Amino acid sequence: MVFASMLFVFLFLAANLVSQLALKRPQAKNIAMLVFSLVFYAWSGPRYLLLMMAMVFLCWLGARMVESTERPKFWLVLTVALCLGILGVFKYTGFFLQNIQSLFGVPEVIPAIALPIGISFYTFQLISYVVDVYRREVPAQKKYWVLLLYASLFHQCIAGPIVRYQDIHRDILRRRTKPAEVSQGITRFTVGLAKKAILANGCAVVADHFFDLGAEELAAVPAAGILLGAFAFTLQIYLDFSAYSDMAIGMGLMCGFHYKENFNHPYLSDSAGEFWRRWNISLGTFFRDYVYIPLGGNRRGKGRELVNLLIVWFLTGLWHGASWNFVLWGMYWGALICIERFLLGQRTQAIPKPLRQLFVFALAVLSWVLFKFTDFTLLTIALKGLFGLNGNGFMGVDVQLVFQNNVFFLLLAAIASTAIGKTLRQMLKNLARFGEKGFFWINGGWEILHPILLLLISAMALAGDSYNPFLYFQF
Amino acid sequence: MPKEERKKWNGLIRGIKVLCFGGILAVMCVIGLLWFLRPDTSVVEKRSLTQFPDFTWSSFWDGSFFKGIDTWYADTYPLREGLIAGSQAMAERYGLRKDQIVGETITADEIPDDPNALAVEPVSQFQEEPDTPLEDGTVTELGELQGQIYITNNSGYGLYYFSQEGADAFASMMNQVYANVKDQVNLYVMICPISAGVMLDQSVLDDMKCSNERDAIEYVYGRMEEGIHTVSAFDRLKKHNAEYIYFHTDHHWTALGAYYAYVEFCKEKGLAAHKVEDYETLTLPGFLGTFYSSSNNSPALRDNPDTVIGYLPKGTNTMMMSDKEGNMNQWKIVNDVSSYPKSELYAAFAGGDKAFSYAHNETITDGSAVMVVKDSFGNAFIPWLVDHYEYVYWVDVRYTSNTISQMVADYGVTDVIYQCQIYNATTKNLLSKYAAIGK
Repeated sequence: MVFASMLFVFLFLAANLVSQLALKRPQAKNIAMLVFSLVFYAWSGPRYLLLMMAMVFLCWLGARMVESTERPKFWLVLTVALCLGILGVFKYTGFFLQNIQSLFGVPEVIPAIALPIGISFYTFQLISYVVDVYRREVPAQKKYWVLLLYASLFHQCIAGPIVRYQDIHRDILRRRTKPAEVSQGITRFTVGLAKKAILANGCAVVADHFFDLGAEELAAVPAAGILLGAFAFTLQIYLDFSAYSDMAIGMGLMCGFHYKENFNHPYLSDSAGEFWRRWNISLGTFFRDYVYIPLGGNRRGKGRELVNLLIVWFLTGLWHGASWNFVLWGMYWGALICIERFLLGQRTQAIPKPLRQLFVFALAVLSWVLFKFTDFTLLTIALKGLFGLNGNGFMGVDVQLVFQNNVFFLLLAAIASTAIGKTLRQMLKNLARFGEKGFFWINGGWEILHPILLLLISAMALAGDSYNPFLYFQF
Repeated sequence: MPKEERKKWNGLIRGIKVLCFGGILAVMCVIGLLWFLRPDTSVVEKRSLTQFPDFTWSSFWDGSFFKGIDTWYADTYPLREGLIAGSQAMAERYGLRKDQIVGETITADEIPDDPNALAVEPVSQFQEEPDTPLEDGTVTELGELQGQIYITNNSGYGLYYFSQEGADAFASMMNQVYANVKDQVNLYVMICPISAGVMLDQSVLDDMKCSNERDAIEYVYGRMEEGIHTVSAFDRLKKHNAEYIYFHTDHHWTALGAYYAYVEFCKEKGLAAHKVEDYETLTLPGFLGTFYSSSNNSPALRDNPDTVIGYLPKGTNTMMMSDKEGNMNQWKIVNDVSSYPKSELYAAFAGGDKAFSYAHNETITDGSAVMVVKDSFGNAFIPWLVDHYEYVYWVDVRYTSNTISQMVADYGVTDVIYQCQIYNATTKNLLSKYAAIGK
């Protein structure tokens, strides 16, 4: 099941919210939440649910052993290795064997192993839990089903953010729903739903018009078409990812869970480093806290720092999908960050900020082209096309019409990717608080109406739009 | 406003907001549970809606059962058509939509200048495929719509992209059919152009990298045996393109467009074509065809609905046609279908797409009989033939099991016309079906 669907919003979520409202005791709420979460996860195939339950059991037991035995490091390494081993088997076996096959011609048959949905997210969550127990930052959870609730919590289980146990274990055990937070949650959820159902899906239509093609068709797209496709995909991927985080945070608030922010307008960044402090923050901090710092971070000299960064970015790329283009994409960002850190330093500060932002945005657009194409033939054609090297000229009627037909929409999607909306909203709130009385009522009206409007137009988009891609199957 | 008062009002505002949100969720949830309100078909999209999935252990285990429920729930949601209308109204404001292209990007092959000068690429031999069971005879007009649609000035135009492989295969198949039947019948082939090639300026077509339909048709004809009579309607249609010869909202030609092809057929056959002015007409306004549904109900097309004009054959307007069970029923060749949905008005011609139909014109008594092997473009063409033959038989290539030899033996057919729109003559979509009839 995905958040952006009629069944989820108008049946599953409605029933879930009623259950959380009706039940008073924390344990009853948690049991209901667990049942909902397991049903939600099993919707993609109950066989994968068994795998997740087994991994949770492994980490539950591992953490208990880490906490209660005299060989905590042994149990930590064993548990983490088993988790990574399971992730590796399900996510990377096919990729690994394909590479072996292309090098040595064996094996003849590569087994098709289905990727359980959300495995990358919940594996990282469970690893963070076991490591945090080892670091004595959080006590081991004694009840298996509570840990299962943490890992399977449907708000964030299949599409993130990567929530750490230490951040929400208090919410799990004794949460309170506050009216102000429920109200915030409604707004956040509807904003996320509209971002996904209207903006991200609309951008996907434009992007796929130029990118979802065979080699021959892609080579025939003029440079402006590749540019427009790349621009639309850049918007799509941000709006889609951040929409899922918005919806998760919003649903969490409606039930008393507090998840950390996962995106902070990354396309406003003026450096690659800043981009990654604003993009998928939970993933970035995971790699920082559980890979980069344990490897020594920047404490063991420049050479080791460089190696550590490249390891982190190699893994970041690989985490996004079992294909070399994702590794290339990760290394691209790693290289940019290394260049900033070791070569440029503060020298870029001399360039006006808007120009730096524009440059980083252009780098991001290029990175998403690397991300989009898992097939290297198509990737090469797209990259050549981006620079007008496919011999099709710059503009074509098709490109012109697609742009013309979607110009207001793309502008709106671009604005939604910036902080303009948030700033305007804050201004209105300030006026309501400190300005004339009229502003208070305008703000109040807006507060009531805009989530309702967003919910209704999202429902229209979900009903009328058969094009509803789900980007997270590869994770 | 004092802090306390503001706090009180903020609490009220939050309460109203939560109630409104919860109320909408509750109402939509209850509506979704009213299974008896769920529709089975979509008139707008001309399709049956998704059925509730059948339960099997394997579909349960791999999740496809649940995915099916997801699709069923959204596809048959009681308010869906209204929500879709709202979504489309919203999408119309995404940009300047006076001109649009609908459909996936296609690239065309170059059309060789000389069809017979292909030393490197010999004519591929058509390989007959094993007989396949008859498909369901449900009318699926949309299934024929291929390629992109260009919408400009409130009219849709089907764009054409040539495929040499498809063209060669079709010509080869026709040569095979000719070899099979040349001793029994006169074989005619009529490839019908679609609207863009006839109606749009060449510069516009060049900008969109479309293929030249005339060149493509001539290329296919050039690959055929000399004994096959080819009917080239393109030039005549182009000459009359200021007239209402193609629908604006549908991929078919009008009866008037079909008339000009009929005139060309008469020329090839050596018949004197009747004047169009001599026919009585039937007018059906408000037609919104396949371009309209494929463009997600483009308002530009909605504002310019078509009028279906039928020309009633003089000799007889009565026909017999088969139903799904193979029973023959009486019908009208040009029929008043004004009670049909506005998307179905093209069904006014020749009974629509039926496996087998015929008309007996009793004003002609020479025993002449023609068989038309057709796709849906043929429907508007059939009525024009009725006043030239005592018997006109027509079969829809997608649904029939009849063969030419059988038709010769049973009905004394002497002329056979293979009629198809240009995509069906330059792709392999219906090749095996055309071939199966030509035995």
